[in-house]
Amino acid sequence: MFRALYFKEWKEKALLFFFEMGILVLLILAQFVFREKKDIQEWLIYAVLMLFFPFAALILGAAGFEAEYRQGAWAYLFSRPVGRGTIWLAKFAALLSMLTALWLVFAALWAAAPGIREIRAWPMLGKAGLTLESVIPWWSILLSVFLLTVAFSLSLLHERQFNILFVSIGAGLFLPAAVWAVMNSRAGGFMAWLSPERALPTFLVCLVLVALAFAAASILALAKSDFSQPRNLTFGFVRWFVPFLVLALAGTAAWALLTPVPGGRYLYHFAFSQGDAYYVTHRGVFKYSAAADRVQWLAKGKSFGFGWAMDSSGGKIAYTAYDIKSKKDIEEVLWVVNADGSGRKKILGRGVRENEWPQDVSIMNLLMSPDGAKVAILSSSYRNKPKARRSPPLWLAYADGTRLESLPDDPALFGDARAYCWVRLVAWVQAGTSVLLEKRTSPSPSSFSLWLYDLGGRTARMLLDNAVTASWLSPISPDGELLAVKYQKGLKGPWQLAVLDFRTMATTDITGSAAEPQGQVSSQISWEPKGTRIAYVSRRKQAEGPDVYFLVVYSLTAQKSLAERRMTKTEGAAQLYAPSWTGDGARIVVLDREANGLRIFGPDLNETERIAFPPRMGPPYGLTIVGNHALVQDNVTDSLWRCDLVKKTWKRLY
Amino acid sequence: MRVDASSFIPIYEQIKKDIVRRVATGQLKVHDPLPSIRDLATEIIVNPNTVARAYRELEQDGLITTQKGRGSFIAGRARPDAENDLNAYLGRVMDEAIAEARKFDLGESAILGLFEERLRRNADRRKRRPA
Amino acid sequence: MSELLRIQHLSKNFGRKPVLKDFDLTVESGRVYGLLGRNGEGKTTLARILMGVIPADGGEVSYKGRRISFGDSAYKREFGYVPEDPFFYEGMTVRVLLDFNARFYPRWDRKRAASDLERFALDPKSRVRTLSRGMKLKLGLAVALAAAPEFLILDDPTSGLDVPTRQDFLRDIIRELAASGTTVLFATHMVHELERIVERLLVLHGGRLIVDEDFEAVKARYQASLEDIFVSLVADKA
Repeated sequence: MFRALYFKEWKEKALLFFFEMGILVLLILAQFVFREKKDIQEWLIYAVLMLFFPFAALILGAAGFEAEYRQGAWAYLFSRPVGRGTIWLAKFAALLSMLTALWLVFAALWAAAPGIREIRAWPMLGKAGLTLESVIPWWSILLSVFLLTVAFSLSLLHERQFNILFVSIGAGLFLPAAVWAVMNSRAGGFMAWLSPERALPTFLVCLVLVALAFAAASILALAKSDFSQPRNLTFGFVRWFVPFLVLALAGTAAWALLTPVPGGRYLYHFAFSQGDAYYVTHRGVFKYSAAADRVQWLAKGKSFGFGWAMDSSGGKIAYTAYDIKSKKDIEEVLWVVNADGSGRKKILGRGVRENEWPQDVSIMNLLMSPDGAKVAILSSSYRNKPKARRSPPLWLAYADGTRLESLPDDPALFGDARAYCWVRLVAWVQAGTSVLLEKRTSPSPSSFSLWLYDLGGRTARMLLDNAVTASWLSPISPDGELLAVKYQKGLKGPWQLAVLDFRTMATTDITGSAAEPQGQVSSQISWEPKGTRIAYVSRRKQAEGPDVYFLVVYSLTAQKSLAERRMTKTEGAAQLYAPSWTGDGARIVVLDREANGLRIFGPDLNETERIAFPPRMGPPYGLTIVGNHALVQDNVTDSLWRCDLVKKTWKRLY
Repeated sequence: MRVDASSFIPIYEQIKKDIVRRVATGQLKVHDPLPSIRDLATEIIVNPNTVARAYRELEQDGLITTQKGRGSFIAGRARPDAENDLNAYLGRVMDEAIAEARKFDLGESAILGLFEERLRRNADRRKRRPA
Repeated sequence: MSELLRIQHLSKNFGRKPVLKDFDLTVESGRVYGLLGRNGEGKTTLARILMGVIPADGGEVSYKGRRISFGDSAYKREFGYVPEDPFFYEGMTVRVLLDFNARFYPRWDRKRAASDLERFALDPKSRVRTLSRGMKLKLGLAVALAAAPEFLILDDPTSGLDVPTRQDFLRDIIRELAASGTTVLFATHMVHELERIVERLLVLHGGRLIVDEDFEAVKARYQASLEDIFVSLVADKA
């Protein structure tokens, strides 16, 4: 029965099909005729994909119910023992087969002429923001199937093919264009130009769902309508179509919101020792409170919304976000909010102090003062060449929004003529009277220097020699006055760890000294909460064989290591250890990938217990301790897990 | 055979009458086969059920017999009573004519005169045609 | 005689105008039903509702005891339909049409169809649109009968045809009746055909049946021709 209907359709539409096939073959032959002229070839392919297939599909679809109308065979067809849904599907299957046959012929060309695939310049599409798949134009195939479905669904309603074609062009081209326009607008989150890798799949999903809406409405109109009543058919179609269209659009929105996009998630995470951790994801700013074991959503944001600058201290959080009104109107905005999420205040941008902030300069880096009253800001103007630079890069903003101060430029710090210069605010030190900055330059000789900018005197002073190359800086110690630096003198010198005390401005070498003669610190250090001890991983050479790794606890007061423990052999696992002290200073937690879990040691480095990673967690990367909880990052999947060290349970926060 | 669908006489009655008449006039003899229901129905363009009913009633009356698979035949008993049946049949026909005439309040002599006239006309017609 | 089709309280409106109103009918298998009615009074509507072409607004139809509703299609395998307007795909040839139609009916008899074509002198290669009205009618009958239907609906098929053609048509119906005992619903406003073959008389007026009786009984009671009976029944009451 289905087959009888199917083949009848082929017989009826044979003329139309071969006509379309003829045109396609002509276009393809032209490809070979113009073998030498690449630009004509390009244009022809473009014409085939963007013009021929859409119109071929529309014309095929519009012919769907033409025979029944023209030859007056409705009553005959309906009085046969066959369901109306079957009738619809058999027709659609036949039309789809014809379209597929056309595509197969095109695919044969695609396969036979490798030169075709090299045509990459798709100017119009590039302007539309579409990125093409490299091999097969799936989007064109899907668009043609979409148009076929729309035209066929509508062909049920009217006997004149031309009218159907007209309406189908309208619906079939207007709807996708409308969806694309929404995706370019604020309502659609500017998806098309902010995350095009998400835009194209969303667009295609929309086409599929809308096509299904048309088809469903058409089938139901065919099955349920009373053909004897005037206009019953059209009303029936509209009545079914509207709710289905709403569902299709809702489905598209759901897809856009809920499907993960590689790179669409991000996790920017940092922690503070007051038992709270703050992190930024594509959804906004979150606070995790260890005491309450609760995540609080402090600031909602769209995926494009957040800048990378954020800091928290003294019960407040400052962060930047982008306020996008349109493609040409994007502004960076600086917000301050209390740690409990209340009192959110815009202190810079989009209507606030706009004339005080220089044009075309963004916030590179910011630091909140320990009392939470001020925010130190480093702008991107330091990267401009000295002549071009208009504004000094350092600013001081008051968290209550009352003042914005431009700090005088110090040419010694910022006036570097060399090609590449990178500056970062490190910490507020000396009871909040100065800020520490690190500066790196290149090309060779590349250099590293540490500077202190006195907020009172408004001058900068270099602390560490320019001839020192530093690998990394540790976080500032819990009391805010110590900083560890891993450095080497010159390019060939041994790596050493030094601790800088801002109260005395004295530097003490830890390794490379009598206390730690052989090894070098290979991982970031962790300050014990009271600040008298540090934990780190040391790498030591052997007489023969690969280097070995040791976990070390070092006392700053006694100036010697208190405990050592030999750890795993592989370097890769060792790099990830991230030894961290718990808040009470009683334990050190280590992330051991080879052991597939957290290992917990006492201060004497005797292992007290292990907590295995949960099976669903990806490869763990970073470890931070907040109160009695460990936060583990997974940079592969961009997720954040927390482990309750007492209860030994895991929960995924993001 | 011909039936008049618009007559008040039911079709099956007309069929029965026709068969009886033929038997009475000797056109159909004992053991002669009757046309099958289908053939007769198709020929005179009537519902086969109607033909079937006529045959059924004739069978009940004993005029025909039906043998499954072989068809219907004039029953054997018809022959000895042929003479009587003819009289009975013709008598019935004449009774009907008389009843019709009575409807118009015709008297006996009028009826008789009418009959004689029809007889004479019939004789004239028969003389003009070869026997 | 078993009950083949039962129609109860069937109703259908076109716009606000009621065409069928509380229509009841029980069809017994093997009998010929003649449905008389004036033009536009609902004969075709009834046929279309029974064939599932249009839906009824109210009421119930049961075939062989099972309720049939608008979307059902299986029961149509046992129904034959010869409508007033020839309604095939005009572009198909006779052969193609028969082959196409055959695929829908499990009981389709190819030989019967072929012999009917010969008998009707229909050229299998001719296109439907080139056939005369009478030929299309015969084709319609061939198409309906080759599927060996249990129930045959004839919706005023003979209107506009000359007498010999009508007689041929009737003969074919009768042949079919004699061979398979098909139940027939013969809807028409032309009474001549009905008198010869109908067993049960139905008269449709005002949306429902005003007569549903054995034909012989009606004739005996009225002592008039069917034509006269019909006219008197459906005359507008002054």
